[in-house]
Amino acid sequence: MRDLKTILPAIALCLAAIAATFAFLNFRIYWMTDAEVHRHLPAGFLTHQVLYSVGASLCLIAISYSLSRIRNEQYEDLKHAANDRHARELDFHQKAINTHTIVSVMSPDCIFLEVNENFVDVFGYSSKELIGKSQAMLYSHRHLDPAFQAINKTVAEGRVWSGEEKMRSKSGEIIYVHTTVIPQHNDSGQHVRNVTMRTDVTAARKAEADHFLTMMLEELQDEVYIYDAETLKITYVNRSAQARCGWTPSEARKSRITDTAPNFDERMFRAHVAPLIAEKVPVVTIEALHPKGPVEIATRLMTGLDDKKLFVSVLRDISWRKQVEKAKMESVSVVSHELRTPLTSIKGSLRLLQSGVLGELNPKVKSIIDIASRNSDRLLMVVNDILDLEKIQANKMDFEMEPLDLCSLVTEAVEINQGFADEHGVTFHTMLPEEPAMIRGDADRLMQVMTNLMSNAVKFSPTDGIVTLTVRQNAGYWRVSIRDKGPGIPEKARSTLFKSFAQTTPIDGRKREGTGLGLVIVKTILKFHSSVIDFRSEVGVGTEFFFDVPAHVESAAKRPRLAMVKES
Amino acid sequence: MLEVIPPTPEQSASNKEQDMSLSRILHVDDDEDIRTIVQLALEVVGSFDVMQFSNGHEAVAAAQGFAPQLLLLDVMMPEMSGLDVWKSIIAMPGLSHVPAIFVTAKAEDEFSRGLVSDGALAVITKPFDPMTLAQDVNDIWERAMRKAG
Repeated sequence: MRDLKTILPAIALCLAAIAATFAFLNFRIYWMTDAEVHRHLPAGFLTHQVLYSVGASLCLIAISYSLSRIRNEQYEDLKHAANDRHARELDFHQKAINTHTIVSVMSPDCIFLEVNENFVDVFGYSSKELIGKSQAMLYSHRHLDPAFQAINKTVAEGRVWSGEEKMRSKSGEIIYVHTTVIPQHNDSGQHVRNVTMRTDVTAARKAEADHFLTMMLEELQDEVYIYDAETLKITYVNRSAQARCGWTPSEARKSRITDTAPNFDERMFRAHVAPLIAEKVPVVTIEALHPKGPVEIATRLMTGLDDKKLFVSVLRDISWRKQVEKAKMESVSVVSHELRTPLTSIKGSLRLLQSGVLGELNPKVKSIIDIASRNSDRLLMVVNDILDLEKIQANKMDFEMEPLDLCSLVTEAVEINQGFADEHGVTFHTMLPEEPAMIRGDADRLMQVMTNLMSNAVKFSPTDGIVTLTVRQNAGYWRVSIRDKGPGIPEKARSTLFKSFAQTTPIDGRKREGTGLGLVIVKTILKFHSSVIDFRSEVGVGTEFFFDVPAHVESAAKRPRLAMVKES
Repeated sequence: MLEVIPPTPEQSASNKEQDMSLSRILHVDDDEDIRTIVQLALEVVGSFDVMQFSNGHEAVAAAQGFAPQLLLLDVMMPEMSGLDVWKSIIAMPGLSHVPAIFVTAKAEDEFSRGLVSDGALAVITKPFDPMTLAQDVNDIWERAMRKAG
């Protein structure tokens, strides 16, 4: 066909040439006389001339037709070429969009109809897993997500929605996308589908966040040091750290963490961070006296982008905190004195009256004196517990660790608390080993622990109840337990029992005296003895509090001293 | 007014029989109520001979005449602290050996240890039990005497 289209104009041209020849001849004949015609032209020539004229006309028609065809053909070719080019461009654009953009086609009610490869790659779902499912599966909180709600509302109104969305991949990873949703309508104006184009902006958001974090680090008043866990070579220090050390950023990168302070003891530092390397603790903290003032340094072990182990130390100037602590301790001391002195007079007076040394009291007066005495004891207990708690918080509770026999301690604790047990009609029963139960500890503080646990056990025991105190060996430890037959502690109270001012409502509904601080103090004191307080309880049967203290091998036992009187 | 039951003559005589036994205690405290409690605790319950003062200056002035065997001193007092009173008294002729027990409402262990390291026999923390104070003081005294030989 194409060949024919090419030959046809050539044929038309030949015919045109023939027609032109005849036209020329006609022109010559027209100007001839009859004599000349008869002399030069054969007979019948004129008939032929007519025929030739007709032929020439046909030729001209053929030429016109051919030229018209040629023009049509050219037009068609151009049209096809344009269509091809347009199709190629569309294809190219589609490829470009598909390469760059996450495309999905959704039904008006947000059901996936089509997804492109990018969608599959970014969200981790196969197209099979997506088609026919609701887009809501890509949101963490589908019904609450503001973007999801806004998209549905906007496209339902026939408008294009554009904005940022926080979505979730199949693996649960958060993905930030910039989204444009275009609603499509059919000829009758019915909303038939939505075309959604998204761009993954997670990396950009992360970069922004990283940049923001770096800015924050730079502006932090706390000093930040990041350095290699093996070589201790610094990789980053923030502005505050540079100021302390007097470094420029390039000087900092040439330094080691050991250069941050004169007399930096690397061996001690390695020992300090050893628990981090062994992954025993997430963070190690130390207070140190820097030439520029007291500081607190918290260090963590992190893994860098190149899998290198890095230490991140945050150094905080605690000069102000130390001043506050000092002021606090001074105020505690003042309060302590101001409360204890009048309490001495109140308690002393009541005790002398109760004893009868000042004369016998009639029963009514005695009962009132007993009330006053009980409440002054309670007030003193509150004052002492608050003071102890203040000491704990200010890290000022002193411990005089020495070898001591837990059996002697328990025996003495029974003597000290016997009066309180008698008041409640409770009997102490001890189960002690034959040999001394040697540990290293502070006798006064451990007596405080025993008194607290024993008084609790007495308070919660029924009248005529028995509180059993046991000391027994437990794999390199000595276990002390205090068991009562009280109402028991519900399991739900376990999480709050050792917190400040925690007082659970007993199963029997009877409230006992106490500050709610005792077990916090007990827990802290035992912590200094490498011990942890725990309990097991059965509601309606009783409770057993117990703690294990590491056994001390030294054989010489030392009797614990009285808690109240310090002797030289 | 409180009706005070005085010690029996037998008790007083028994206390003064032995030279090494504790009988004369000089007590200084700026709080009048505490002085009353301590007086009852040491004289009535413990049968000691107690001389009391509200400030260090009066105590120092009267110390030689009373010739105390033991000082019972409140730590925090205006003008002269308990430690100052003790230092002034032991600087006097014939009283250099007089030991001191301090009474304090301060709760810090460090503070108490400091006093003991300064030579105090003991530190008694307020509030104390008046019914056992005399016995505690006597026990501390006897232990110190045994130690001194």
